[in-house]
Amino acid sequence: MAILKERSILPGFRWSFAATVVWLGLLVLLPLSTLVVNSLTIGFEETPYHVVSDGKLTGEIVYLHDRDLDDKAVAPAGSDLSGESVNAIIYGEVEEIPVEELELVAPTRGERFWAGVWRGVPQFIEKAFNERVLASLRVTFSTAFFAAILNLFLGGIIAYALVRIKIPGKKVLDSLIDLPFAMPTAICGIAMVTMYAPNGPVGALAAKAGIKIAFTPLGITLALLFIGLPFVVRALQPALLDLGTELEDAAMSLGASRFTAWRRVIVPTIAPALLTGFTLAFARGLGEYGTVIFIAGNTPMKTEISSLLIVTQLEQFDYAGATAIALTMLTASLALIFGINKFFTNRHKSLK
Amino acid sequence: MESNSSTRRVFHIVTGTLAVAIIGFVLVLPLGIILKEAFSKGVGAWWEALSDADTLSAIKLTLLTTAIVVPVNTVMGVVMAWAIAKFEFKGRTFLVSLIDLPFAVSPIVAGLVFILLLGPRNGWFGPWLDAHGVRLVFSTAGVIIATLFVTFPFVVRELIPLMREQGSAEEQAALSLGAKPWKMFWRVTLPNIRWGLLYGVILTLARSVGEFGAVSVVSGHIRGETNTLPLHVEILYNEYSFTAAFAAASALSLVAVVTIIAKSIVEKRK
Amino acid sequence: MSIEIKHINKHFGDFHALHDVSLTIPTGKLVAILGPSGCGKTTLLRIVAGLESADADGGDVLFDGESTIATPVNRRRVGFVFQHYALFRQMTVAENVAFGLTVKPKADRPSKAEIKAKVEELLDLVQLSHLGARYLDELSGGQRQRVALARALAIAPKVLLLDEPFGALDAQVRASLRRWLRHLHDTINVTSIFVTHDQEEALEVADQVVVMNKGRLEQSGSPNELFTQPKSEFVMNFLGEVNIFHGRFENGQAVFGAKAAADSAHAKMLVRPHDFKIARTPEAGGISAQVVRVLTAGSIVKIELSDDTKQTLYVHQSHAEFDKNPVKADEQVWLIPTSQRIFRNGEDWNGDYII
Repeated sequence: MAILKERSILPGFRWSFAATVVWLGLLVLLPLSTLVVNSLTIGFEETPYHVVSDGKLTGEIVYLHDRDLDDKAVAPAGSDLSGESVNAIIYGEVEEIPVEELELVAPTRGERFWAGVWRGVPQFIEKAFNERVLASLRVTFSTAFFAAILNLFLGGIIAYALVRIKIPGKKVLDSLIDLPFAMPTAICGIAMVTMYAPNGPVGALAAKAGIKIAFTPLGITLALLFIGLPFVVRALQPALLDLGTELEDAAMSLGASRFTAWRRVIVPTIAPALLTGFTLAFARGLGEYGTVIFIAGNTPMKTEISSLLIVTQLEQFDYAGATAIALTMLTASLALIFGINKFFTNRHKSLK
Repeated sequence: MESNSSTRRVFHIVTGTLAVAIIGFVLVLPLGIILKEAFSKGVGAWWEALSDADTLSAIKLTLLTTAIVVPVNTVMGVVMAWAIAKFEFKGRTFLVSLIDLPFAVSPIVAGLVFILLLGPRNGWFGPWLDAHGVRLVFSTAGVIIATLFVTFPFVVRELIPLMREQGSAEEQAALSLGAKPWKMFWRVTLPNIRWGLLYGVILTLARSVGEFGAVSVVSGHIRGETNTLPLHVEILYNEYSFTAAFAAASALSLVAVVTIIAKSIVEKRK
Repeated sequence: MSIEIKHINKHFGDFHALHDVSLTIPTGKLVAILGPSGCGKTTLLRIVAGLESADADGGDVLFDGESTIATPVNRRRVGFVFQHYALFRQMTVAENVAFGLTVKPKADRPSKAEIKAKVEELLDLVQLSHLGARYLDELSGGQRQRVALARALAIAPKVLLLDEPFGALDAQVRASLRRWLRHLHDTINVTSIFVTHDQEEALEVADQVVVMNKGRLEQSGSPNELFTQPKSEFVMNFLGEVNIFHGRFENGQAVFGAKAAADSAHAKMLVRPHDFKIARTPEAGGISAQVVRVLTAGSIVKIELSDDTKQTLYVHQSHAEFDKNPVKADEQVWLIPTSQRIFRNGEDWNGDYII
């Protein structure tokens, strides 16, 4: 019980704590640790072997996957090659063979370890930051960013209207804000593409104006607009409610125009809520998949988002590639969320 | 003053109209499009599409997943909230950040990590499980595990702030009046958190019915077997069976609408 | 049921909240634990209740000579009234009161009719019988306080413990409730402890007052004993108003006033405002002071003075006494303490003194 900071008479700490740790460990920590561990061990997929020719080490090293070894004659690390014959593994069986037929000598543990480390770093960089991945990250981050910015304005208007203005049917409008939270993302996705496709209701109008929405980054941005809107509205509503009308009235009584009152007084006061809403919408946009894939068009280098690229890599059995991208994305969204938490704990030092 | 209040009115009317327009365009129009497409060939076609065998089996799998995930995450949510909200212990903040993690993770990444862990060929435990005839990804079990992961924070995140705010004085009072731990929980704690709990359950329910990304990665897309309803919608859509796709989508939208209605009712009582 | 508290220590991390506290409370008494906030009084009460555990270093709490330190709170049968009542917000008043009876194991549980009768009896006792079906948000603070008390009494507690029972109420309700509590205690006669930081409340209601300071027990006794024979500077200072004079010890004597040098051991003389005689001419043992203000409105006359070191002093007189020899503002007078206590390092010191 030393883990408890204060003893408590409430029952059930031991087992509820144990259940929490086990559950979070199995469901969160262990699965997510695969990303880190698999990325760190990316260089160990292949093993460095010493090449043997005519019974002599050539000094050359080849990197082979386990599955490539079947028909190769491999001697254990440190085998003595000076004799006539040597023990080697072929097709998984140990056989004594003439030393001239030996093809490879296995590395020592140290050789294997250092080769894994030295080859891992460039391999990870290649997997995580090759041109296609970088292009996908560019698409993902830019569309999520613009959608979140746009949402600040649209969400701001909605939040203001819902808090300050008497609108008939306000309660229904307020409930509708949660629609993107409640709708399955794939459903949103096919709705988006139907809406914005060149023959869809909005897409047709846009096409007349010469704007192509579906299968372009603009389409992705509009899809993310839908998915991110509630984050901004829900972050702003309580802040505006807290604010009351006095500040705005006071600024205007001092001769400010409504626009100036907003710019100089309201926006700075609700800045933390704006930042929260923006970050949440942005982070959600980075990871969004279902809403986007139908409308994105998924052209590599142009409209391929990172989440989709992970799926593509998986379908091609490039697990290491998928893992590397996933780790990059996870790091980015954690940095965002950690950053905003840090920002707020620094602002008011109160502990919640 | 006169002109001031009239400019205010104009400003309010403009802003209000704009807000309604944005809600209508961004949020309601997509819903309308789904319904329009679903019924474009009449109610008969809609019903037929929904009664298709593969669609029915997708509905069944979705219901099965929900029936397992919601109770498990409800119970575990209460248990975790009890430990984290009612006691002060070392590492508490670490556990809280672990709870927040699934929300920071893309659903695709959520699916991926379970393949890295349990995938039959390359997963950490996959080959061992495979040798024992257990398949935890590319199977119904995979769908359930991935859904557990993406939905488990809803209940516990709802309960922790609620239970911290309520403190434990009422529980102490119940104990001092002779209540056994179980009675204390059942008679005092549970009634106090019931609306928050229900709210969390509704969110869990909606997400487990609708989860797409994570499930898509781990399901294996075996038609009639490991396809949930959202996955089935994707397949139908990609096969250009639009009416069928939108019929299934309309059923899911109905769940979403019921969810937000239930949410707003419960939110008021919280 | 008597309560015996033996050598209780309590640490919160590095903070030593209770220092070896021992105390005996005879059966049927109403005892107040009095002290400033943070003195450990609530912690002590919660340890007696079993809501907090004492350090495991041999300390014990005995009810009628029986150790209870290992008994969990839900088997201790103490009636505990929480500071903010901790009423069950999801239940009606009657359900709150009935709770302790309804959670008893089936074998000991009274029948529904018996529970109902008991609840009615208790609500009657706390004068709330008309409010049984109400929820708590419809009740005033004083009414909630009485519900909490009725709920605690429902389990026929062996002892009744009240944590700042009137702390959350406004002054008028406090005054009437504490007279009512005294009356209630005389009716039900259960050994009771209540914790308070209000000395007036403690002196007015309790049979016995226990003063605590910084986790230690300072003094325990009847209200009169504490007021008239405080054992320490803290107790005298805490119970009622005092004037403090600083001096020094010299040749076994305490020296106050102008003759005191600053560098010798510190002496303090405490005199209550009503323990002065006022003289118009210099007198041996008199303290020279100037009248600043005289307040005659009220049941007593309050005189504010300033001594030669510009320290403010207060003297209280009855109207009768004041009328015999009324002083005015700016008048030069000499104050002669008729009863005073001298303390050395906070401890009572009995010896000669000169002013």
